[in-house]
Amino acid sequence: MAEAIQIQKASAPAIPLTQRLPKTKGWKELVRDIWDDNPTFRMILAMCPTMGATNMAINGMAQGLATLIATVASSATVAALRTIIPAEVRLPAYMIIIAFWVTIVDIFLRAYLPPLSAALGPYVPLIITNCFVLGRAEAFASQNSPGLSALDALGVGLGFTMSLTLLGIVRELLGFGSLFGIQIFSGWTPWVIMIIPAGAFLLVGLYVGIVKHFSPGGQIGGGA
Amino acid sequence: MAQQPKKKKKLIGPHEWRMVIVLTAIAAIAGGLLALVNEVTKATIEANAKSRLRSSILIAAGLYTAEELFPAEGLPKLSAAQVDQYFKEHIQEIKADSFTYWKVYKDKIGGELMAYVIRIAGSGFQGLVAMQVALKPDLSEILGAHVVPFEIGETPGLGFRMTEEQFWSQFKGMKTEPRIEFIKFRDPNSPKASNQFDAITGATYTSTTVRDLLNQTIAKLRKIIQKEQK
Repeated sequence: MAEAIQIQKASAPAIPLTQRLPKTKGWKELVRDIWDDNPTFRMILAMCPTMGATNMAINGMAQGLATLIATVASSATVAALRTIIPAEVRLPAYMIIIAFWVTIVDIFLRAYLPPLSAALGPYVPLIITNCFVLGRAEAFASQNSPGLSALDALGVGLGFTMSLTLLGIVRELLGFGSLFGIQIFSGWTPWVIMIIPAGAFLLVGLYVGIVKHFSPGGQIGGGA
Repeated sequence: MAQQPKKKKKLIGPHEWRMVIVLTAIAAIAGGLLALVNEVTKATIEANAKSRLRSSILIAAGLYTAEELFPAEGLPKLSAAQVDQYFKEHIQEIKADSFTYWKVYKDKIGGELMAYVIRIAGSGFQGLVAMQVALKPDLSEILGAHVVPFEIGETPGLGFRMTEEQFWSQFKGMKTEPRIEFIKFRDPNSPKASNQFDAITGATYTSTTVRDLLNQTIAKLRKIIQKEQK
């Protein structure tokens, strides 16, 4: 018996991290949130910044990363306070926590990255109203540990960043002929439709179709 | 059977108090922390804005180029401290009836006046439209202009193109009398060309805002200076 335990102990670390990691709950959450439940192309959530802040790749990426930081911090805070907050006032409490973190991100962008802050305009403070930030707090963080909630939020944030960057890349290429500010096509006639939000509508539709085509499982859900 | 007197339910019990206390505590802590972060970063944010405005004034007055003070890559030629030093020696900031303008002197403050600089600012199509404009001491001609790219809130690719040098550099040498107009496809040989600037394609609203703000602000400055000289 003692021998068996010893063998078990000795053999446990022998499984490499690459095999152990995909079996952990956190990893599964992460992958599910990035791909299967991608906030933009699967859940069709947070369309406001998706239309407004993706006309250049760098803007889409920055908007995604700002949202990621705010979501991870909010989810972890909500999870840490989940036993203290009474159920009746949980939504106002979540809103205060989310508004707090988003404002922190906004202040830091304004102080230390003013060009990016100016390019994103009102879309950083508007992260407060992003439905999936509150959605992760309500659906996941209110029932799970802070660490797992942070991972869950990280997955959603990464999925969102990836989607916004993909949109930004195509819109910038067609609308400006450049990529991350570097001119790719010289003498390019800009497609004005890609610069304005209508272009984002068309592209989101296309991406939703492509994602659905290659991975037909799961459902396309809807929100604002 | 005698009816038992109904026990009156307390309106505010311990559970309700807990709700109030928790929510108040969360709001108070969040508010307190935000005030702290704001206090720490306020100076940096204000200094950033002030330094940008001052650099822009130097460019409008033709003392430095946009590449030198707002380089696409690397650090600007003058540090914030150096810009402030230049202002101390050459430029006087004057506030008159909630209106600010700057007097640029050639050698030292009080010496030979080189230019007046004004900042035009207002709401455009979807955000801030602002430009720094330097004028000859008699206000008859624009010596130069500059737009700080970071602060403009217009549509990227359309109104935001006012931040391009191609747009703001065309104000150099423009006559302010009788009034500044914009046109599509400006003909430099036309007799009216000295009052005209080329509109931004697809952003007529932005061009209109720039035109109106320019004419209004120059008229305001003219009044103030006339009052001063009396």
